[in-house]
Amino acid sequence: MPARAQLKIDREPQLKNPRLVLAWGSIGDVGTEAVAYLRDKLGAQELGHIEPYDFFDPAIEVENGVVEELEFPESKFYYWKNGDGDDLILFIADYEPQVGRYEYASLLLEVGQRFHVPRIYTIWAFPSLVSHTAEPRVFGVVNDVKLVPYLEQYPVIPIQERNLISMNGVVLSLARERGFQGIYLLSEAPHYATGTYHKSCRAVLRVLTTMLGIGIALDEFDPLIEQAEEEMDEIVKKASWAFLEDFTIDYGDFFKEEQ
Amino acid sequence: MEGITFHSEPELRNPSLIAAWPGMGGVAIIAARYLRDKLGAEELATIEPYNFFDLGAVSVHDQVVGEPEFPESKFYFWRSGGEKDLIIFLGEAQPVVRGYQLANLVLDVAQRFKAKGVYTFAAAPSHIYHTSRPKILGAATEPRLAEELKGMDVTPMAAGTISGLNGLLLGVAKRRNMEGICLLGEIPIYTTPIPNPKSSKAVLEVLIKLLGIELDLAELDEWAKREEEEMGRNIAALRESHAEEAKRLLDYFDQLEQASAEEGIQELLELSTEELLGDVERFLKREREKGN
Repeated sequence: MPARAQLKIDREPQLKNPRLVLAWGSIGDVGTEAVAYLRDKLGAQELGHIEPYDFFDPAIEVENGVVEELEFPESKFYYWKNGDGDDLILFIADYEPQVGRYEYASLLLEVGQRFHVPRIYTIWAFPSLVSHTAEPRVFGVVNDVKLVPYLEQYPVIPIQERNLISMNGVVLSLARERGFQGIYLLSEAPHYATGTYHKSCRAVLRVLTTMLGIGIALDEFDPLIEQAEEEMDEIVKKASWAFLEDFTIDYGDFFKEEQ
Repeated sequence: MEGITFHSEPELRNPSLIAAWPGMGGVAIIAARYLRDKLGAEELATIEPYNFFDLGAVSVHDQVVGEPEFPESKFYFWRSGGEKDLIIFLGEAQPVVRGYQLANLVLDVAQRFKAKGVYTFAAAPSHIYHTSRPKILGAATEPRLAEELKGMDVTPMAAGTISGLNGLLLGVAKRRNMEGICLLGEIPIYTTPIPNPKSSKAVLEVLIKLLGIELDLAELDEWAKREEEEMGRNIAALRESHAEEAKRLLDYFDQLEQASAEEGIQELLELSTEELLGDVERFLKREREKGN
């Protein structure tokens, strides 16, 4: 089966120098939520999707003896026309493909070729020892040595030596082979973060929107971040008390007996 | 039909599809093979493997390399002589990629012969002793079918997932508005890599009731007995050789043996499933290999 049949582009908008921004599910949904924020703020339009059937085989779920409807992860493209400036194509995927990474990456790059994309950005996050009270750092990798000085203009920590195991690395490497420049921005999130971690979304978007030259307000993240921080403080406080009670002696009682 | 070779074009009456791929305890594939062999089902069609499997090793005979070998995905048919015929599909291996498309091809063939119902089998690993009678769980594409199964001594699967094609086929059948049932036979959690003809027999007993056909299951009984005796010997040998070292595993077996079939065991001593499987790998597998 030709892989190309799995690429469904529903519209053919005329796009000017569109930069392609890619995101997959990761810890704290950082990449996907960041790009979804961008999509919603800009009012980006649907462009197409990748059919999941070559890349995912879901296990079926059963509830009370009845099989649930099959659900496949979504991988969707959006586009945004930027008036006089350069346009955007956004790609948001629930998960990385289970199999067929090369084919899948080729489909993404085909979109790049079709719309004459000059540069690709991929967004991701990894679990780290960062505290939820700290500002998450943003790291960067490029696929072209000429981009190194460009990256240095931004508050991005360059990654020197690392094996990249997510799709981001695969796409960047194939992108170079096919003549695309590529930048990979990855943020960090506390390893204990559950649900969406907005603080990292904001951190990575600060860098990305500056690179893209797109001014959008990021303040919608603020109340969400504040609320999550309060909740996490509470959890950490409880965990610390539980630790103290389980692993320390109450010296108050100890001295009482002595007297 | 692209990717499918037909070996015959029989006229079939109201056929049902029974499809099976290898999985835990071989429950599904053993049951479906037995059905094919006992009924003397004939070849119907073969699905080309190239989209779903990768080439593995190639054998050499007398210095000459053999043909490339792919797992077979093959249909058989059986005419009942009555109103309800059968199509039996046997997949020699789970596909490496594009399981969804393989499931669709299987149902394409079934629908070409106007099949309405689809049956699959699977294993439900649980804390039962290998000598006890396995319960049958059921999952269906519609609540009405799940309800009907209750009358056949089948417990509706409360919640969970069925992985692999034995499950996926049912999900795809549901998408196509076909009726489908998966019968899951319990198997002891410590026997998942070895054949479990006892559980295969138990799912077949339900299937033949559902289909209203007769089938002699005695050969599965004999095979089940041999497997059971071997497992008994392995556990006895382990008791001899590593009574102290393998104590918590042996305690687990004692507990299972004493528990009544209905109740099962409520708590696994202090053992997590991971620890249990680790012990099985360490001790029981070794006894099995020694015995072979």
